Amino acid sequence: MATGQLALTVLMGVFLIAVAAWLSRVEDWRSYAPLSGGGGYRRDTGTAHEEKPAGLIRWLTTVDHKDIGILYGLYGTIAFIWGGLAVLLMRVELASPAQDVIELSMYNGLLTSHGITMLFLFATPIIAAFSNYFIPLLIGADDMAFPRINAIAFWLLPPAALLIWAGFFLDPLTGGQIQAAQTSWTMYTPLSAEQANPGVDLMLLGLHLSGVSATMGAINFIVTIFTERNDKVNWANLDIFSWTILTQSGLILFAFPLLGSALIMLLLDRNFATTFFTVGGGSPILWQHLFWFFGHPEVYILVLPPMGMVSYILPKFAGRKLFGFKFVVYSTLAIGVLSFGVWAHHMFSTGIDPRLRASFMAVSLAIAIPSAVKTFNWITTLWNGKLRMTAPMLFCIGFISNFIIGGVTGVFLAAVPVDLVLHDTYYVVGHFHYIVMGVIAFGVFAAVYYWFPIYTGRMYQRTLAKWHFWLVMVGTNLTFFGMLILGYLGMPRRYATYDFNPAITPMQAITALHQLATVGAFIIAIGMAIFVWNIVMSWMEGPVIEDGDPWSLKDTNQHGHEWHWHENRVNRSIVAADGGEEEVATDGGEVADE
Amino acid sequence: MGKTQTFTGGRRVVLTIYVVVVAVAALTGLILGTFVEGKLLAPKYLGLIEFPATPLGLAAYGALTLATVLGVLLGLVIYVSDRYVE
Ligand code: HEM
Ligand SMILES: [Cu+2]
Repeated sequence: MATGQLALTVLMGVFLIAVAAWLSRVEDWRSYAPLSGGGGYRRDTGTAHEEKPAGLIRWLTTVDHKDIGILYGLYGTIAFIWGGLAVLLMRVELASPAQDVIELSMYNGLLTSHGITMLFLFATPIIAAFSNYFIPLLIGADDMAFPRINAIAFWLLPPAALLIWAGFFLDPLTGGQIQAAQTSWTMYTPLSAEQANPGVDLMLLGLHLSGVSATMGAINFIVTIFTERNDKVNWANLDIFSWTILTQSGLILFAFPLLGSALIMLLLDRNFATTFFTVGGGSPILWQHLFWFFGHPEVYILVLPPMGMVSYILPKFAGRKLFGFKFVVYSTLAIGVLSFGVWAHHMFSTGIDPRLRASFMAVSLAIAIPSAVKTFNWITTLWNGKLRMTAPMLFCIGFISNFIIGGVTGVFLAAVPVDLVLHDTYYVVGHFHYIVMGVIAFGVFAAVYYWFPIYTGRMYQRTLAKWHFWLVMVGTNLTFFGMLILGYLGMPRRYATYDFNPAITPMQAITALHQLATVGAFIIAIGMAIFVWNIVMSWMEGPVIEDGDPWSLKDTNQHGHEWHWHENRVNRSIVAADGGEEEVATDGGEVADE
Repeated sequence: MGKTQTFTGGRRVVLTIYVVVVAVAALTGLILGTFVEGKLLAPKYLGLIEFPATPLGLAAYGALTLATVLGVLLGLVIYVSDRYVE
C-alpha cells in the first residue's frame, strides 16, 4: 500500500517535470515578451493588433492587456448578474415574514453566494477590468510588465467561480450530498468548520484560487507602475487612478495571502482534524481575527480604485483640475496604511478586552479623516465648477452623496456603544451596501460610460444611460435606507423569516420596510437590465467615434494619456482606411456631446 | 462635432446634495420617532439643547445635527475655494 503510494507520487513528479520540460520547448516564450519588438510607446500595440488570431482562439490565448481587461469586464458582469439574481430571490422571500418561497437552506446558500460573488467575483475583477485596460495606457507603457502572468491570473478566475458556485449545480446531481455552502461570506467558525457539506470545501478552494489570482494581478500592477512608465510620467504627475491601483495592489499583497493561509487552516480543520479554530483546543475568535485582518483592508481594496476613478473623472466634467491633488494622493496612502489597524471594529461584540475596543475605536474614527479629506476635495472641485451632467458625471455625484451617507453611518458603527446595539442588525447591512452598491458600483458605472468610446470605439445611448442612473440611484436609496431603519428597529441580519413581539416592535413596520427594500431591489434590477442592454447594443451598433476627443477635454486642458492614445488610433485608422474621407464625413456629430 | 454643451452650476449641485442629505437625516428622525415613540431618551443637540423624543423632535434633532456637521465642512469648502484658486 505504502509503496504503491510512493510509486504514484514519484510517477506524478516525473510526469509534471516532463510537462514542464515540454512546455519550455514548444516555443520560444521570450519571443512574446512585450518589449522584444523594440517598439516605442504606442507603436507596439498597433502591431500586436495585427498579429492577433481571429475569433475564439484570440480570446483564449490573448496576453494583450486590453483584451484581458475586456475579459475581466465580461467576467465581472456575469458574476454581477448571478449575484443579483441570488439577491432578488432572497428579497422575494423577505417580502413577507413567513418562509413561503424558498427553502431556508436555499436562502442561506443564496446569501453566501451573493456575498462571496459580489466581493470576489464581481467587484475585484471589474476593477481589474479597468486597471488592466487603462493603467498601461495612462502611464504610457506598452503592456503590463508580465503579460503572461496577467493572462494566467485571469484564467484562474473561471475555475474559481465554478468551485464557488459548484454546490448549486451538484445539489440536484448528487441528490443533496453536496450542497451550496451556507456559511455566509464571513465563514465564521465553528459553523463553517462543522458543516459536513463538501460544498463548503469546494467554495473554500474556489475562494483560495480567486485570492491567488488577485495576488498575481497585484504584483503585476506594482511592477508595471514602478518599471514600465513612459519617461514623461513621473511620481509627481502620475494620474490619481494609477495611484489608487498602486495602493490597492499593496493592500492586496498583504491582505490576500493572509486570507489564503486562513482558508487553508479552515480546510485542514474540516478535513484533517486540526484544531486551529475549534472550540476546544483552538479558538473561533482566532478565525475572526485572521478573517478581519484581511476583511477590513478588503473593503478598502474595493473602494480605493472607484475613489480613484471618481477623482479622475469628476474634474473632466467639472471643467477644472482636481482640487488638492496631492492631498488626495496622501489620503489614499493614509487609508492604505490605516486600514490594517482597524480590523477588530468588526469584533466589538465578541467580548474582546475593553482597552482593545477603545483603541480600535480610535483608529476607526481616525480612518474617517482621510476619507473626509477626499470628499472635501471632490466637493471643492465641484463648488466653482461648470458641470456637464453626462452619465459619468451623474454617477460621480451619486457616488459622493451615497458616500456621505455610507460614511456617516460607518462612523456611528465605529463608536463602541452604538455598535453594541446595532451589531448584526440590518443597520450594518445598510451601511456597507451604501458603500458597496452606492459607492463602489457607482464609481465603476462612471468609468464604464466615461471610457466607453475607447474600449468600444463607439458611443452609448445617452438617454438609456440616464435612465440607468436614476433607477439605480432611487433603488439603492430605497433599499438601503429601508435597511438602516430596519436595523434601528432591531431586525437581525442573515434570517430568511422574521417574527417580533408586536408589543415591542411594530411588525407592520418591519414588514413594510422589507417590502420597500424588495421594491428598491427590483428597481435596481430594472436599471441594471437597461444598462446591460445599452452596453451590448451600443457596443455592436452604436455610432462610431471619429473624434479623438469625444468629451471635449481639450477645452479645459484635461486630455489625458489614454485619450491621446485613442486619438492616435482614430487618426491611424482614418489614414489607413481607403476612402477614409467618407468615415470622417459621417461626423459622429451629436454623438459625444451630452 | 456638434458641441452644444449645457452647463450646470457647481454650487447649485453641491447645495442640492447638502439639502438632500440633511433631509435624509430628518426623515430618519421622523420615522424612528414614529416607530419607537415612548421608548427613546430625549436627544441633546450638541449635548446642550434637549429635543423631545417625538417624531418631530427627532426629525428636527437629526436635521439640525447633520446640518451643523456638514455645514461646517461646507463652510470650509467655501472658505478654501475663495482663497486658493488652483
Ligand atoms: C468611512 C469610514 C468607515 C467606517 C468608520 C466604517 C465602520 C464600520 C464598522 C465599525 C463596521 C462593523 C459593524 C458591525 O459589524 O457591527 C463596519 C462594517 C462594514 N463595513 Fe464599514 N466603515 C467605513 C467604511 C467602509 C467602506 C469604505 C466599506 C467598503 C468598501 C465598508 C464596508 C463594510 C462592510 C462590508 C462591513 C460589514 C462586514 C460584515 O459584518 O459582514 N465600510 N464598518
Ligand atoms: Cu472594517
